[in-house]
Amino acid sequence: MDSSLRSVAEQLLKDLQRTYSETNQIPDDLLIALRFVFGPCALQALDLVDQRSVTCVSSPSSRKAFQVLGGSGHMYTCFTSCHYCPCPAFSFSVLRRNESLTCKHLLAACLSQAMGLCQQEQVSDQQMTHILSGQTEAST
Amino acid sequence: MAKRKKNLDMRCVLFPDDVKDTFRKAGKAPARTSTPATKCWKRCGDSFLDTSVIQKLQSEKKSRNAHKVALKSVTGKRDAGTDDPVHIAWSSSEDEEADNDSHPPSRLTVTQAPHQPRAHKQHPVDCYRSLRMFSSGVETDDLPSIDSDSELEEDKSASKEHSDCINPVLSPAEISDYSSYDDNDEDTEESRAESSLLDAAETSKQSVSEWVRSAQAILQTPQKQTTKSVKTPEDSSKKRRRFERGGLAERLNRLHSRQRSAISFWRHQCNSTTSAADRPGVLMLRILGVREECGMQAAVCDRLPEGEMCVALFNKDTATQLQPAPGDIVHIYPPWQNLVVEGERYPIILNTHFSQKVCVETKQDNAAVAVEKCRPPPLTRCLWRSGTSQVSTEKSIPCKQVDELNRREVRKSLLDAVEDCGSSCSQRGPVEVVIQRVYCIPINQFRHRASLQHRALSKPPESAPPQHIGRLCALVQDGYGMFGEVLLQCVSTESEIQQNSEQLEGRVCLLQALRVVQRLTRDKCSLLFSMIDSLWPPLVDPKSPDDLPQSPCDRVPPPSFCYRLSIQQDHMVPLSRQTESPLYRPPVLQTLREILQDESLRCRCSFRATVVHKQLLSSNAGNREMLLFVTDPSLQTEPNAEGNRRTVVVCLNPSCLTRSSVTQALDTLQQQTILKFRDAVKEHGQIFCLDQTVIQLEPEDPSFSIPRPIILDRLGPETLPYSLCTVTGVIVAVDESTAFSWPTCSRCESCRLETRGKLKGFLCLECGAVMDEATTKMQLEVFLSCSSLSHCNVKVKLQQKTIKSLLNSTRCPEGHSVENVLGSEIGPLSAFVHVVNRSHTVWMGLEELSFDCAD
Repeated sequence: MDSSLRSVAEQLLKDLQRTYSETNQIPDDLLIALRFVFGPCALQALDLVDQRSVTCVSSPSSRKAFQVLGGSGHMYTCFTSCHYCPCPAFSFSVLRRNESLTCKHLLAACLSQAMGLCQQEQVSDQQMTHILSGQTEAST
Repeated sequence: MAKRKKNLDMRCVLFPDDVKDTFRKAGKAPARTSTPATKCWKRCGDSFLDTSVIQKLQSEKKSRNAHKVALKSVTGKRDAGTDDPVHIAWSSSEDEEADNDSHPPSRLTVTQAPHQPRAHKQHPVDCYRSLRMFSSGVETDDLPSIDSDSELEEDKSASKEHSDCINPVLSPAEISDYSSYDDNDEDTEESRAESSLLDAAETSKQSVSEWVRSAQAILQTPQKQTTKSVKTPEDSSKKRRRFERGGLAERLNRLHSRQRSAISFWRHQCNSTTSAADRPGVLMLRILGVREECGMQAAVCDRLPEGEMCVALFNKDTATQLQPAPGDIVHIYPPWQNLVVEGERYPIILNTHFSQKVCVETKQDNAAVAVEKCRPPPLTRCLWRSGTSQVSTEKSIPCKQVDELNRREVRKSLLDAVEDCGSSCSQRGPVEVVIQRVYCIPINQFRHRASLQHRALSKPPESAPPQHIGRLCALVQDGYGMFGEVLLQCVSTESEIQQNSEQLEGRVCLLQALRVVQRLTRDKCSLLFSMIDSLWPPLVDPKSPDDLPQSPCDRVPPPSFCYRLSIQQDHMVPLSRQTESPLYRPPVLQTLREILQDESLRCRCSFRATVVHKQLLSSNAGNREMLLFVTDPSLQTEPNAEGNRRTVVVCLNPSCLTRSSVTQALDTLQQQTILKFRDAVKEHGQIFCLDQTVIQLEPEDPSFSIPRPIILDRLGPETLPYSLCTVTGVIVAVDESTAFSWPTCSRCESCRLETRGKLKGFLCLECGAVMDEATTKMQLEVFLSCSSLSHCNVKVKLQQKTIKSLLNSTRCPEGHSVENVLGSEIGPLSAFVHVVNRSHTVWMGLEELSFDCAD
């Protein structure tokens, strides 16, 4: 049986985008719904969004990746084509124990995209290669 | 002053008898007969409650200071001699007070606290227990860590409200976990603590418990922290400082804290109260099946008053407490949320914290029913795909299982729905409305509107990608006669507009998840209200709010306000039952003659007509209006009489979206093209196509035939500018300044010709044709004297054909001369009246048009 929690999460994000683009704010009930569906990482993800920790990195070859500056100062790279984050929380809660839909970095990336609050950064193709192959961060 | 009061707090804890005197002022008589020590404690408790010091205790600064001072004293006075930890803690006050340090409360028994205390005033035993809490584990070496915890504690607690004080008095580690309301730490201890401390909340001994907790935080060994070491890595970020002020996280934190308090309070209340009365807003569900998804439990349920099915999501905490199983009946109290998800069959119920099981299916075995776990969602699908903006794909509007919807849940009043939702989504049941009209606003016009409303929008409206041509809107009406303009999705192709219009117009629909954009009033938005007036009075008597039959509609004036709403694409669902609602008022087609005879100052009209001529009026850049001259059989077949108009001018405003089929038809202007104009505005005798007007291309209709050639009005003294007319007259003068001729290419009519040097003839630079003789084009403007007009100067710019025939008829060997032309009669010509100048003598400037017209 397939999970419908995922579609609930996607719908909430769509609603969020719509509301934010129309009124430039998020109503309380939507915040509560986010907390309900995503669990405790919602609060942390919103904190990351408040601090504009998500950067959309793009290259001339029109590849994109998202880099999220976590609370500990570590930079995590999330991708646009798969639901994955290299942080230990993701491996543990999502992959191993299947207790959570996402981790705070991924959720922060989704929220930032939905609200248009990503920082933008252009990098060369070579740097993008580094990022996509899981090596060093784009820029310090 | 604050310091003084803080010290007063400290002092309350001391037991010496001379302290008693200070507290007698509090006015509480000691009513207990237990040991003197406990009596002191209780009194201290009393005094805390009664004096205003309690309130001060809540302030962050004070408590932090208190702790700092207390800790200082602990480290400093570790070897103070007594093994009474309480004494050590509070001896700090002695430093400042310099008195009463000589009464060690040796009467206190020091024991470990095995379980949670109850900070309850009435039971002496409880106070004694709270005593014990203080006594444990003072022989600690890791005070610094406590320090950070407790400080963190106070930071967090200070920002909370009173009701947060029902937190359990646990070890510091547990406190910190709980106060960050982390669902991850789902220990049984937590739930135990919750239930045990709800009494505290109930009897509102908040201050005491807070005080106890804060003191406890200093003194108890954080032993339990070791058991908590197996935390999920993301919890490490919990030890964070404050959230950004004014940010989303801070807001959510506040909301969530409030919610948690409410939940705990409610749970306790549920235990004490018997059954749930059938209050409004309570969801009654019968669980059909439960499955586990990513830590939450999803229950497929039946809504009990024979309603539709839904899926209720329970988080881990609620699920543990509720233990939902198939066959159970669960009541969910508000506030819960209902979310309609695209692609899901049933609506999803969220925020189900306030759930209670009402009756339980008797299970055969005592073991808990194993809940089926769902497959984890695939990693190949992202939660957010950047293509998921409001780009609508071409698909028909789905008719969901609306038949299953309980009719009682569906509301009939738009006003109620609007009042419920405010700026967020309406979360109650859907509203039933009739769609009266569907039209499309061009996207640049729409943006202009939107930007007027939302001045807060700082970023440019990127929401409409360039391929969107317009936004669909629907004018809806509910059973009470109330109107609303619903903004639907953006469309990018005209077939979408067509499809949606056909599917929606006239149907009864359910609107779910509305958002209010604006409230519109008659004076601000008169156009929309002219539309509403044309639909008034409703065909079916509107209901009055209390559902009594109302007085006949013609006495009820049309509404003076309505709401502009927005809705997501699939949330406007047509009901499949009826095709057309009795409330639907389709546009009534009239003949142009009837429309012209209508005396009303402003009204909406719908008609079919053939376009005779079109004229572009170029005003500001991009905002070009077009004038269409239309006629229909009613005007053409009239007998010739004074005052009969043969053509009517229709002004096409850019705010009216014209489809490409119509634009094409206008470009070619075939004789047989019939256009249908719906809901055009007739104002002061002129017809305008504005926002809500829809122009459609009609198929050929032999019954709508206009006899050729088309008859135009004769030019007369009353002729208005921007009209068509026929003119006959005698040439009295020629405007020589504007009379000239030029050669053009015989093939492509271009003026770019070159002589071929020594050779005869011309070469066209445009198309490369070579010709011996170029076609000569001429411009000639003549003054006419018309029999129908006296004392009028009429100047006509002639067309090529007329000029040629005129000159040919007056040819003379020397070429063309003015004298030969004068006195010739020309006409009847079809002409467009550019300008009419009535300053002293009447002067009219005309331009001859070439189309089929009567001789």
